Amino acid sequence: MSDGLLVVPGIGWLLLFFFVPLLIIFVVSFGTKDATGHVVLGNPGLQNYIEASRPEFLPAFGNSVRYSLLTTILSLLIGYPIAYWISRHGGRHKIVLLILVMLPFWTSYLIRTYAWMIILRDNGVANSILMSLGLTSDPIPFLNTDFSVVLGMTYGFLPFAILPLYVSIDRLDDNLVQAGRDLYATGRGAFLHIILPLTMPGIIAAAVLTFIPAMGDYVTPDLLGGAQTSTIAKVVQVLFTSGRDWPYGSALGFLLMVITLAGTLFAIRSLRQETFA
Amino acid sequence: MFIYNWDGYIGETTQKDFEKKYGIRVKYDKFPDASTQITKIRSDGAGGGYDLTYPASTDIAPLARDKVISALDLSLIPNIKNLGTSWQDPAYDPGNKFSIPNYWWTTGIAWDPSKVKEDVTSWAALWDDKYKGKLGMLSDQQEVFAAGAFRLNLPPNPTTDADLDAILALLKTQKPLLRRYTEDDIGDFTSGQLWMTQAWSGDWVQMTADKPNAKYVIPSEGAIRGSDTMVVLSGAKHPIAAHLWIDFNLDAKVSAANSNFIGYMGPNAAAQQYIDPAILGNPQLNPGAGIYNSLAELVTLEGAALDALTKRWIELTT
Repeated sequence: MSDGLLVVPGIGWLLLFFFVPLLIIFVVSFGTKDATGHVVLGNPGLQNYIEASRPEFLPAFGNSVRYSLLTTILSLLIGYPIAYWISRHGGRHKIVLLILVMLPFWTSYLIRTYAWMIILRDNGVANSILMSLGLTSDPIPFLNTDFSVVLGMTYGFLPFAILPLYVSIDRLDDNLVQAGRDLYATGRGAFLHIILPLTMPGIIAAAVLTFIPAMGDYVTPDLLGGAQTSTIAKVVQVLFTSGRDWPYGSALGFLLMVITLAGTLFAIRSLRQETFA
Repeated sequence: MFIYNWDGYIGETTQKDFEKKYGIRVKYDKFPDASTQITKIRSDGAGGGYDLTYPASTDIAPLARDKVISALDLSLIPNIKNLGTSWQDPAYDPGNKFSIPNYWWTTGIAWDPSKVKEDVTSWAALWDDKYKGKLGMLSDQQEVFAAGAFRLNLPPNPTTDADLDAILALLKTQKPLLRRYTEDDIGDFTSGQLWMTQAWSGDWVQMTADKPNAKYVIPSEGAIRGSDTMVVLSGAKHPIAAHLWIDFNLDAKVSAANSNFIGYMGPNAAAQQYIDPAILGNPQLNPGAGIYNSLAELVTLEGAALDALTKRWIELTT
């Protein structure tokens, strides 16, 4: 009985700060707005969801999926070796190295994104170095492109990927790898058939922790992107602010959430089946 | 006291001078665009925790109707006598019941003559594919659609679906040439990201601080003229301090100092003698009565009209 009580604060927190706001958005999404922009719940209906499913949103949705997938894949590709190295070769300094991975979080995410603007813009650090070394004569337009958006997002989400990967890799019993080598497995074979499948839970967790927030990130594509890089999250933001249409924005946001979760669950299932097949 | 204003929209020492004179500490928060400001002050229906803010003149009527702002006690603002006669009883707020005029501006085109070799006189310059990837428009749906409307000789506050769709089609031809719908015209221009952009006149003056050769023009097809105001929010915890701030900013020297720093012309007749002649004598910043009266003002959009524009803005930008 007393063990059960231990989850009460956690459940309470989730209920109050997660489920209740979600419920509010859900209820608002069925409402309409009056002429002055205030939410009206009097005649609920599905009109917002029908509006939100229009094909005009597909390019923005496509951008969101594209950026999030690229960010997730890059975070995994960069994060896995880092997590592996810290686990296998960190030794006494493992904790310090992990703290170094988390250190960027001590600075506001927005400020770090602005730092990327200063580095990537036409008269920024990157271009100044390239031009003073004589490698280029005109500035390369790094900023306001797909490249700068994915770069900024990967940078921001990398620690989210490294930590679950580290946990999963650290749990891996080295004896299993040794046993594999004893049975004439090559280094590559040991990785593909022993390490990778056994750390798959960590990879899945890292992918989920990167993909889902990336789908909702509107700040990074807004600051580092340009006229061609709009995302569905930005559309939701416009609806809530200059559009002053909270019910419509809520419906679109909810729809985005459901699609993202469904897609993620489907991907997890297929990955799991592939591993143990 | 809590103030909510645009970034870079006040004189360099105004806040410090006020704090020293009255011994009132000012917490000065900034917003990046008008929609953030309105959303925030409407969030609790009474100002979102602020005492004073700077809404556009077109926002006054809805804010007063919804009781987000309160009527001013003009007895606490003796410096109101400094305002020019045309500003003492403006059409958007008769008798200055709720607001005091702050600054006015035009929305035109700012460009860098070292990169853009031609003389710019028309909105068409922002559709020139020679400068693809270096052009910018403001991230403001009404301003962008107004620019398109001027090019097509349509009303700058379009209401009919036919007009809106025609403007949308024109703007869609521009989008591939744009680098950004910018929220920071000053920063993007001075960092060289944009060589030519739709910009507010006062922002151009601030651009010249880093790029002294930057030019600005009120395009020949027409431009938007806007003004904003100072208001006291209905939920203000320090309304008297807010009134003192308004009176302080209406002082001739303070008003001129603000104008000189931010580059916008003010409605303060008494301040004119202290304003930088470069601003006063520049027809782009201080156009003669002829051009001034031909400029158009944006109207406040609500309900179906707002939806119609927002729907097309989203279609354009996504």
